[in-house]
Amino acid sequence: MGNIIYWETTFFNITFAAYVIATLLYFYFLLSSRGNGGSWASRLALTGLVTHTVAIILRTIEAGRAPLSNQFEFANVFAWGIVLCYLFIEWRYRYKYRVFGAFVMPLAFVVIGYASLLPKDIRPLMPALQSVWLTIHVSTAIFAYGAFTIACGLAIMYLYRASKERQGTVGIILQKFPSLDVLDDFGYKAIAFGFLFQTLLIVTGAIWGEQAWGRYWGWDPKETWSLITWIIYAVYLHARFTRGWSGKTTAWFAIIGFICVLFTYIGVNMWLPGLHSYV
Amino acid sequence: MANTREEPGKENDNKRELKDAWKFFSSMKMGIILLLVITAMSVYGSLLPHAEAMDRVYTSWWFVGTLVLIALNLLVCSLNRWGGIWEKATVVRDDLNYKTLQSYQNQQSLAIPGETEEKAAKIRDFLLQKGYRVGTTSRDKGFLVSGDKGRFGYFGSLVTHLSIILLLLAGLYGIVGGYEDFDGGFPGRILPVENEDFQVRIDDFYISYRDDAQKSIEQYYSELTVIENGRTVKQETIYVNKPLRYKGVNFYQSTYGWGVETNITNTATGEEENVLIIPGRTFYHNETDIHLHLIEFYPDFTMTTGGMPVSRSAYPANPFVAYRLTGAQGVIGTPFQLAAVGDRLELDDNYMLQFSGYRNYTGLLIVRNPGKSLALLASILMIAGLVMSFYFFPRRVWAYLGEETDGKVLITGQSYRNKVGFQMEFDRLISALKNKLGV
Ligand code: HEM
Repeated sequence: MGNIIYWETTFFNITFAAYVIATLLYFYFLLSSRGNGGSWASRLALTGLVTHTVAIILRTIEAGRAPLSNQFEFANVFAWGIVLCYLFIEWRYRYKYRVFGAFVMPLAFVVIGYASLLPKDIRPLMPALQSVWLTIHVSTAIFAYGAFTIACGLAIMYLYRASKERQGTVGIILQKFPSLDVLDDFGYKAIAFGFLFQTLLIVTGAIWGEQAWGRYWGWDPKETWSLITWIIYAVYLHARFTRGWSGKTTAWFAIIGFICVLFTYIGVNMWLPGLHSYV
Repeated sequence: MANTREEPGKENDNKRELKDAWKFFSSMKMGIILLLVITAMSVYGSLLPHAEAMDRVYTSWWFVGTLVLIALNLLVCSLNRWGGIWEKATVVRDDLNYKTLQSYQNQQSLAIPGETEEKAAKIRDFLLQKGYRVGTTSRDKGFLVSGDKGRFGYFGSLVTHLSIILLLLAGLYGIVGGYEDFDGGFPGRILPVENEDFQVRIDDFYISYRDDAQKSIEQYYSELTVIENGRTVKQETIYVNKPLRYKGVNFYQSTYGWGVETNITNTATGEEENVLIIPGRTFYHNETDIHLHLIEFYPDFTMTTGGMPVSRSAYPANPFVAYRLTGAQGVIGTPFQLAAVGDRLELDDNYMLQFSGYRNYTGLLIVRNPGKSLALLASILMIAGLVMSFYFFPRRVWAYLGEETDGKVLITGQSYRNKVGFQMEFDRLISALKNKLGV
């Protein structure tokens, strides 16, 4: 038993280090004139993802359940989801858009950094949390939030590029950026994927809520904030269709949406306790 | 008629204004505004304490009214768009000219050997093979082959929007046609169920504790029996996350509480009286004219360093009772007395008092929500609609040969939804075509 905890901690620490170094290498890749270090950044991120997966599996064995039921456990899989979604995109587009890494990995690093500050002890689950729907519910959150994080990184890139283009100062950094259209398109795809999973998140949460508390929707602060997040991204999707709303406006919505994600996950627990406050 | 145009009558003006207002009301811009309004209201509600927010925000006329406006806006907008979507989905556009085709982002000129008709046929076959729906039109000494794929995607947003309307209706139906009740009791009690022709008997209630230091609670169980016309029709053990469902009524394990078994003995005759008292309630003993008020039950009693009585856990490791006795002359002894379960106490000269034991009662939430299945259906539709919108994205390709193309075939492609993805797909399509034709 103690041994498993030791190994989980070790793998978690290795993961943390790998993400930090990967982040630095992505920065180096971004700033170096010849674009060096990119493949090493990817390799380290992948190494981190593998050790992260091992740490999560060890914790599952240790706890005897899916490790998805408190703040630490969720922050942990949240970071895992970001890196997984990110590396998937990198691989899917044949490493052509590695520059995204410099904007996404820092966010993954912040989330796992937050996780590392939280108490990691494994507590038994209170009765309401003992449900397969909880596992499904939180699993969908991993993908929704992972994709929204990536969309936020892309939106920052978009705004950066847009402002530099207006000033007419295209330096070595911008040369590695894809065009505004491509950034916008990737951001849209990430949000579409995230939106689908956010919908699943709300629906599975409703099914769980119905079984546990007798109502599928109760305006609990966490529920309400997940709805707010969902609507903000719905506005993003529509704003993209409406002429007169520039790409910059929609990029801002992608960032506001991500702030809502973080608020739903962290802020609600701190300031707006409700039934969900133990998650 | 020229007259009326120059000097538009008031009536016409009004009509136009009304028409413009209607157009604006049913527009997507209005939809976005409404979504932002409901967001702001929800943020406000989430900052209030929950009960207050339920009262003052989520059930207020302005909140519900905004939801109704969203539903109406969606309905009108969907109806307006229906014709256009249907046309897009059923007709392949073939009225494009060279100039338009040239303006598309993805294009490639191919020199394909063979006669004009032969070229058209080859491309058509290729596109059909790739799953495109294809139409061929003869053009000035050439042809235009038009293909499209992912038509399904045109209906995605329609299905999603419809599902939102259904979801709001389901919520309304649940509120109008349903109820929520709270009831419970000690094992043995038969609960009447409002407006239903069956009853539910509580057969047992128990808690399973973990074997850890805090004796934490693993689960609460209630054994229930449904009785209809005097017959047992269903028997189930419910726990948190597993309600009993019968004829649309659901029974949820919601809370539990303690009852203290209290024994009063006449020391002279040995006559005993046993009552079960719930904390917070008062028992009146006739013979002595004493009110026994049971203040609190502590399953695992201890004193804090500040001298406050508390329960360390929910596990009855050290059960204690706080109580007060009031006689005809007022409070007897101190107003807050403590006794361990099992202690024998003097009520007065002739009667002994003993808290002899404790029992749990169960608290059940009884809910009927007829809108639930509709809400589930709407959710499934919504997910289907989103998948259609996002992953069956419509894409179109054209192959054009005409005077302007100099014997070559111009192949162009366009996708509104997924530009980068389609670009890659288009490149693959072109190389597959080249491969097939050997060019
Ligand atoms: C919370 C509410 C809403 C949700 C979740 C929602 C969802 C969606 C989705 C997922 C799409 C497809 C977008 C894409 O493919 O990128 C869409 C498109 C659209 N929505 Fe909504 N919508 C909502 C409310 C509204 C409202 C109130 C209107 C007002 C009329 C509206 C009008 C439209 C229009 C016109 C489109 C464009 C469809 C197209 O061209 O494909 N939506 N909506």
